[in-house]
Order: sequence, then C-alpha cells, then structure tokens
Amino acid sequence: MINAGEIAVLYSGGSDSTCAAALAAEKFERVHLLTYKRFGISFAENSLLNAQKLKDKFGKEKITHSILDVDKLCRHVSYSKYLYYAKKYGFFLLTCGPCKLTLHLRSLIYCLDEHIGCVCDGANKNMAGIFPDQMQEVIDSLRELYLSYGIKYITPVFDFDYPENIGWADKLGLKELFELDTPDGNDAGGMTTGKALFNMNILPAENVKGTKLDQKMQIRCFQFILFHIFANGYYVPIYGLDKYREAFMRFYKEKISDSRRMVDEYLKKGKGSRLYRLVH
Amino acid sequence: MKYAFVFLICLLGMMLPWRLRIIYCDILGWILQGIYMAYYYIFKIIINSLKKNK
Repeated sequence: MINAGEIAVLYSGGSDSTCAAALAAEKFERVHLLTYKRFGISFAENSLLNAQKLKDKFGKEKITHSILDVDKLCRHVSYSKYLYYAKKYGFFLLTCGPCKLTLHLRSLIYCLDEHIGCVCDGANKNMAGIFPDQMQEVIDSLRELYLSYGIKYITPVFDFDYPENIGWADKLGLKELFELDTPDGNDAGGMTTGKALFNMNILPAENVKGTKLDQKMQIRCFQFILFHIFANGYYVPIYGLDKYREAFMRFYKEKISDSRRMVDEYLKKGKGSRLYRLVH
Repeated sequence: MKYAFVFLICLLGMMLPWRLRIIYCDILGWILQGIYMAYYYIFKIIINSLKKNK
C-alpha cells in the first residue's frame, strides 16, 4: 500500500536539493532525505548541515535523513554487460550517466520498501546541457520508470532561475573594474533556489553557489570531470548537442530497461534477487 | 590533434576498472582544479594592480 503523503528526496545538501526538500515539506506529511555515498563521493556528512536546518524548520517528525551506500550498485550499473555497451555507446558509459541512474534506482527501491508514493530531486533547467539528470528527455524517462511502479517523480525546482552573479567576471571583479552594468551584490534576477531558501530563513544569503559555505554543505564528487571532458571536449564539438542528446537518450533508455528488469526480479524474488544483494 | 588527445584521455578512463577509474577521474579533477586556481589568482593579481592604478 503506497502512501501518497510521503516523499523521498535525492538529497546532496546543496541549495537546489535543499530547496526541493523545503518545498516538498510544505506539501507532504513526511519527507525522507536520501544522501548517497560510494567510493569517489566524499563528504557525504556535509549534507547533515542543511538536513538539520530543515529539521529545525519543519520538525524532526516530518524530516528524516539517511545516508545510503550505493558502491556495489553503482559498480554493477556501470559495468554490467560492459563490452556490449562499450561497443554500442562508447564513452557514454563514463561516470555520470550510470551514476545518476544508480541514485534513482536506489531511490526507487527505497520508495518500494518504505511504501513512499512520491520522489523528487533538485534537477534544474539551467544546468541542462550535457549532464544526464538535467535533460528533460532523461527526466521523462525516469518519470516513466517510477510511474510503472506507482511512484510519482517530480522536479519542484526545475523552472527556478540560476544566479546571475557567479561567473568569472563577478568572481574577479571585472564588472566593477570596467564599470559594467550589473545587478547589485546578491541580487540574482528571478527566483533562485538560494533566494527561496533565504526567504525561508534556511540559508544566510540569497546566493551561496560557489562560496565556502556551499562547499561545506554538500557532498563532493570529481568524476564529472571525465564526463565533462568527453562531452564538451569531444562529442559535442564534433557532432553537435542535438546528436549528443539523441545518442545519450538511446543509451539511457537501454540502461533503464535493464534496471526495470532488475526491479521486477527484486519484487518477485525479494532477498533472493541480485538487486537485494547489491543494495543491502 | 586536440580531439585525439581528449579521445585518449577518455579511452584510458574506459579501460580502467571501477576504483581505478574513480582515482583517475579524481587525479584529472585535481589537475584541472590546479590550472583553474592558477588562472584565477594570476588574473586576480593583474586586476588588483589595474584597480590600484585606476
């Protein structure tokens, strides 16, 4: 029996996922914050900082926070049928795509185990480009996957704006030097996740992206560098962004089909399934 | 030439097993972080000098 009043949040501790959690807390009876750790993801405990702020604001009964290990699962998702995928999709297998799918797969299992009816994350349109979790097509595919198990996947901060004053020119003070017309201080234009959290008294400033506080409040992962090098340094300049997205979607849809088979086996066999061994 | 270099970096990443690939990515990350920091601070010094002279 699925509980529609509860929601799981893929929670890194950063301003986007914290904002998603805060918005969810206003609508749902109970919010489960899920932070994931594995070899290569460091400082998972940083997420405790904003998780505590959410607990202080909305109550400990409403907010629960868990740090879950996905090392074995991520390894499996990244390397299962490796030669087949490597031959067919090449460098799309590198780091970020399989990793993000792992996090959603683990969240799906968590929701099924705990009978949670809804899941969300801090996906945002402004990061849409090369990274899988921020592409609308990928989000739609993941939404289908969740929905086939009766779980709703929402992206509450997808349409939020991105702060304007976090570029090189701002960091170096170039605009000030050349007296360029620029928004003052923390004014970031439209509604950003930082601004929403500041208005809720969760963050001390409207824009913390790129600051030391930002580093202290969320997990860190450097593996995106390799994926970034592949996409921005190789595939997109040669084939273009549209072809990149098409190819990525073909790869992702096939990986999602594999994941679906694993979840079906998990529901059928329980403790005897491969997924159970990878998750527990 | 540039694409061949990038291809080689990615190919090496593809050939590595799980943990080695992560360590490889982290090393690449720290190298790029070092270049980024050097670039940032050199610019910062130049811009501060320009501001003083302005």
